[in-house]
Amino acid sequence: MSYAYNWNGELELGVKFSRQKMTLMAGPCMFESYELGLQVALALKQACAQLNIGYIFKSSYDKANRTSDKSMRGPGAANGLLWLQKIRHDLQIPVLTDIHSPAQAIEAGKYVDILQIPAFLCEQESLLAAAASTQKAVQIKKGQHVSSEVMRNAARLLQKHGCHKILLCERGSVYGYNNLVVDYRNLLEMGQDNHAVVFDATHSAQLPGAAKGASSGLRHVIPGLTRAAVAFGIDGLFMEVHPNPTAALSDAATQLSIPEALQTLQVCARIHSAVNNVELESHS
Amino acid sequence: MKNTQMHFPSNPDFHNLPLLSATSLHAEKHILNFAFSEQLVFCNKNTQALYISGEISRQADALNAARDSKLPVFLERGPFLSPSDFDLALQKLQNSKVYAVDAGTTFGLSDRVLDPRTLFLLQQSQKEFGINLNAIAFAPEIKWSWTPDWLHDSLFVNAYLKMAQAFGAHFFIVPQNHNLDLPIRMPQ
Repeated sequence: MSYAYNWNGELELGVKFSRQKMTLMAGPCMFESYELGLQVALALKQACAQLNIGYIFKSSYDKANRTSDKSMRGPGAANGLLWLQKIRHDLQIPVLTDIHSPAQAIEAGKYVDILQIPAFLCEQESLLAAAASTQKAVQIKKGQHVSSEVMRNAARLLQKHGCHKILLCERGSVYGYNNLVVDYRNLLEMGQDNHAVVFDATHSAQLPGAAKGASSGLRHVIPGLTRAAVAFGIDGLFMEVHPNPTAALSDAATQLSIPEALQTLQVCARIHSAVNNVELESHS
Repeated sequence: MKNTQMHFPSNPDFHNLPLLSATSLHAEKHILNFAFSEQLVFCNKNTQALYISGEISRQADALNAARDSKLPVFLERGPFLSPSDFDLALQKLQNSKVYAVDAGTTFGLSDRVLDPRTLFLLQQSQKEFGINLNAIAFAPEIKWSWTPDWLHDSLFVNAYLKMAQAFGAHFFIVPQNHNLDLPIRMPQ
C-alpha cells in the first residue's frame, strides 16, 4: 500500500515510509556539536537496525523561533549543514532539518533529504513554495493552533508548487496558555489525502513558555503518548534525543535520553508488529 | 526610513472608531505585511509601517529585521502565545515604535476568543495596542467542518469590540463584510 500522493514513500539510502515498517526521525533538538550529533545518530542507527525500524537523523542548525532572545540558536548554516552532510555520508542514513525562511529552504535543500516546516509557519506559502522547489521531501509540522483540515490545505499548497513527497506531523494542539494536548483524531484526518502521517512524540509533551521565558514539558508522558500513536497507526515517528537532556541547550524538558529512547522504541516496535498482525488477520 | 508615530483617524463610516483598516491589511498600501527578512526589499518611500502577523510573532529573524528597519512595527500576538511569551517577542523589537495587536487566542479547533486577561495585561503595560477583529472573526486557520454554527455569529464581533474599548484599545482592524450584521453596533 502506498501512503503518499504520487510518491511511494521512498527516500534515498534505503528508507521507505509505510505502515508495514516503522520509520524513526530522531536526533538532538539543536545540533550543539558534531560529536554530540554523531553519538546520538550512531546509537539510534544501531538500535533501529536491531528493531527493524528505518532511521533518519534529525537536528536543527538554527533555532530561529526561541521564546527568549537570550537562548542559543545553534551552529548556523555554515557548520550545521556540513555536519548533517557528514553524518549522512559517514553513516549512510537520510537526514532532516527544519527551515524558517525561503532562503534557508533553498540552501538546506542542497544537503538534506527532508525539509521540515515549523509548526508556526505551516501556512506560509512562500516558505512552502521554496521548500517544494528543492524537490526534496517536505514535512509540515501541524500548527498548534490549526485544524487537520488546514494541514491538508497546506499540503495542497506544496502540491501546487510541485512537491508530492509530503509528510504531515502531529505535535499537539493549544489547550489553553502554555499547554498542549494530543488530539489523535488528527492522525486519521491528516492521512485522508494519502500523505504520510508522522507523530512528534517529544514536542507533543511540551508546555510552551511555561518555564518563565523558556518551554517546559512533561517528559514522563512521552512513552505513553508514543505507544498510543503507534497503535493508532502512523507512517513515521519523530522524537528528539540527547545524551544528557537536562543539560541540552534547547527543549531540555522534553528530549529523551538515549536509554529512554531505546526503551520506548523497543515497546513501540512490539506494538507496531502486533497492530500489523491484527490488520493482516482482519483483511484475510 | 523614519521611526514615526502612526495616527489612527476616526472613521465616520464605522461610528468614528479609530481604524487601522476597514477592509483588510492588504488594502493598506502604506503598511507592509512582513513575514521574512528578505521582504524588506519591498519597502519603499511610501512604506510607513510593518505588520507582523501572529503566526510570525516568534520568528527572530523577522523581528530583528523589522527592528533594524527603524519603521514602526505592528506586532500581532500569535493565537498560541501566552501574554508573557508575547511580551518577550515585543522585547525583541526594542527601540522600535511598536504597536501591540491582539488577535484572539486559540480556543479549541476553529475558534478564537478575545481574552479579557490579555487585554488587562496590555492595558497595564501602557503600550499602545489594538485589536484585529478581522483575525478573530475570520482567522485564516479557522476551518474545521464540525464547528457549531453559533460560534460564527457576527454579534460576537460587537461584543469583542465593546470589551476592547473598555480596556482602552487604541485602534481596531474590523471586518467589512456586508453579509454580516454590520456596521458595528456601538454601545449606547
